[in-house]
Amino acid sequence: MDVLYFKRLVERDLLESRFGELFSDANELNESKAMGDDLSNEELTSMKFTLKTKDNEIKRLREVINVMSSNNKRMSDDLIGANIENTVLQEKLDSLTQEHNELVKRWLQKVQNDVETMNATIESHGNR
Amino acid sequence: MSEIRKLIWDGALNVQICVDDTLVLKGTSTTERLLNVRIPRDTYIVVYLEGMLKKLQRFLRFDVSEVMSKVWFECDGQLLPWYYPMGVLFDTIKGSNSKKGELASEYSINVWKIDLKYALSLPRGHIPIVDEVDQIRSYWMHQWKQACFILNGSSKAMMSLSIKEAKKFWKSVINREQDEFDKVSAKILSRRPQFIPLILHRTNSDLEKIQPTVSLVNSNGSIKKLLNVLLEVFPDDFTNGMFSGCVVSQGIVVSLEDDMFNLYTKLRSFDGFLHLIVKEIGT
Repeated sequence: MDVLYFKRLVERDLLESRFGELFSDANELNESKAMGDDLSNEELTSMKFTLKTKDNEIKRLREVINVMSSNNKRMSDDLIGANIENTVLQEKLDSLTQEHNELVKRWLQKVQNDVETMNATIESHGNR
Repeated sequence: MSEIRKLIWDGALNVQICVDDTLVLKGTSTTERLLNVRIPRDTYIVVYLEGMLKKLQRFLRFDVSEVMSKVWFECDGQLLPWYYPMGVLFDTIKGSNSKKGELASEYSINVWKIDLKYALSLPRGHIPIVDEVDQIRSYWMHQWKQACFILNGSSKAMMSLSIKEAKKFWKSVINREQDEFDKVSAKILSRRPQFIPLILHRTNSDLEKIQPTVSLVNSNGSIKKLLNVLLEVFPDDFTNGMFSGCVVSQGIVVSLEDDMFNLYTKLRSFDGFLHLIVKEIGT
């Protein structure tokens, strides 16, 4: 059985290690991890810090844009409301102006009638 | 036997890691997101996670320490649980490709493509790495404690390791020092164990894991063979007394007629357990 397993493991390795030279050894990853950061890494850290700051700035500005957009929307709604109110009031004004003109006309007509009646009365008294 | 153990210890896989594009800076090309690395079968993939991220850090959007707890490995959209040995994951998910045709072709290359994913919300079933290598070491030590208990009926052998020995034991896994590993593990392993620390893996989508209690002998006193264990655990997988699948361990198909203690001695993993992958025929 051991010979069989040995043979199968050798076959497994033959297949799984083919072109293994194209792959870096996993232990090298841990070795490079232990090495100190070089100058370019310091630069990289500083750039990453700047990137993070800028990302935060973008995030903050996006929030400002969101608040402004909601303000803008609210103002638009107010404007639409005021326009509707204006239209309604304008219609009411037109209707009241028309009613006023009508009343003035009627009042003038009444005064005219009163004057005519008064004149007729005076005239009839005069004839007596 | 030592030759087989050496082959088990030295077994490695060609792996191509592709880093998630949300983790890298804008303008990073696809080839710059790739990392070709040869990872031992008998280790956890996360042991090399920090090293992988450090290797690619010039392209990363964040600091390595920031992302350690927010990344995980996937293969074809399936989460890879880091707490299984690398070889077990490969044999369960991708399977042994040791077909005769492929063996004949000396130009074929065996690469396992794995995605390194990043997101603020982690996928279901993933255990985040919050304590870096210490967490992995603790988990591995716990596995050994469990294996020691199954083998000896107590964890005394494991608990009586000195701090120095325990450190040396873990270091031997990290630095791939088989002699050191064998020296310490010999103190835990028993020549005549009570039970065998065994984990059976099924190749279904949930990566089902079964941990049966396996003694060395059957109730009639005969030596327990793998076939006996399969008959106890998967009686439905037998037709006319024949098992309708195959069992893989360490990348090779094992004999159902082999006794469990022999299998454990030869093919156990670095976590003290014998991992057997039960496959249906055709997978």
